[in-house]
Amino acid sequence: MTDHSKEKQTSEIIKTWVNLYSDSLFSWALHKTSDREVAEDLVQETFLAALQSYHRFEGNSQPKTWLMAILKNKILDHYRSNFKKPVAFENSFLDGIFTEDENWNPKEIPQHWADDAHEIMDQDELKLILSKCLKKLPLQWKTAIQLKYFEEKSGDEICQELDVTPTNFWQVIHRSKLQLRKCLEVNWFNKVA
Amino acid sequence: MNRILKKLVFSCKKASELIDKESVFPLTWAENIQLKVHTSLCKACLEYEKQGHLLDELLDRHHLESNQDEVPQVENQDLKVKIISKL
Repeated sequence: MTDHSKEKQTSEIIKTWVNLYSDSLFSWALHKTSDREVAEDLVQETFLAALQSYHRFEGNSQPKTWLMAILKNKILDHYRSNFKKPVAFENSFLDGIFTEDENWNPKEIPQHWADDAHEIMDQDELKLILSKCLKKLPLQWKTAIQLKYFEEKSGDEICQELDVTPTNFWQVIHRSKLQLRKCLEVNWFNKVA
Repeated sequence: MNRILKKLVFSCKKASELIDKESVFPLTWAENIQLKVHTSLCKACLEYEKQGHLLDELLDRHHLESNQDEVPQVENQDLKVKIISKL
């Protein structure tokens, strides 16, 4: 078989896979990134990568499993680059929370939420507010939360995958939680109390 | 009171950092003691610690719910066409 016809055959196989599996891959990517545009790009990149490295595909694994493994790597790359993105207003945000001598700014002192906070956690409205608060986080902070809570990875694993130091990582988690806490307090707990 | 507390233990800023650090990495023995002393004297940071635990629980559940059974399947015909045109 000539190289040309071989190439054509490979691209026909990949096209069949697009028809069969792109919806599953897209659903997964969307679930992980919560961003339609990003999810579409990742799935497209996955199939292009599959086309290029088709010669490494071994017939003994399922095409879907192989594609999923490529996609998972792409998602991880995506997290990695998001985490490296600088956050513009980082310092001014933290300055407002604590005073110069590092006490809570009187306006920012954490208020007692609700005595039944555990019971109200299942309420749909609270979940909705949490989603909104998550969306407001800078990309880097949101990525840290996604990795820790949604990917259920340990701190050490995350640091290894992102190639960052533990201190770097927990400081980002800290900032995210300061903001999430405040967002929930303003939008939920102060309103129900 | 706050000034003494800061000399003895450390600032609220530092305490809040340790509280969140603890949710990702284990604290050292000394950090642990310092944090315990601080939160036993400082109501604001104790509240922050409680809220942190609630936040952990909320975020854990948030994920479980969006992951129940399987990931919801979304069709995307446009994407299929777009990718195939690029192959």
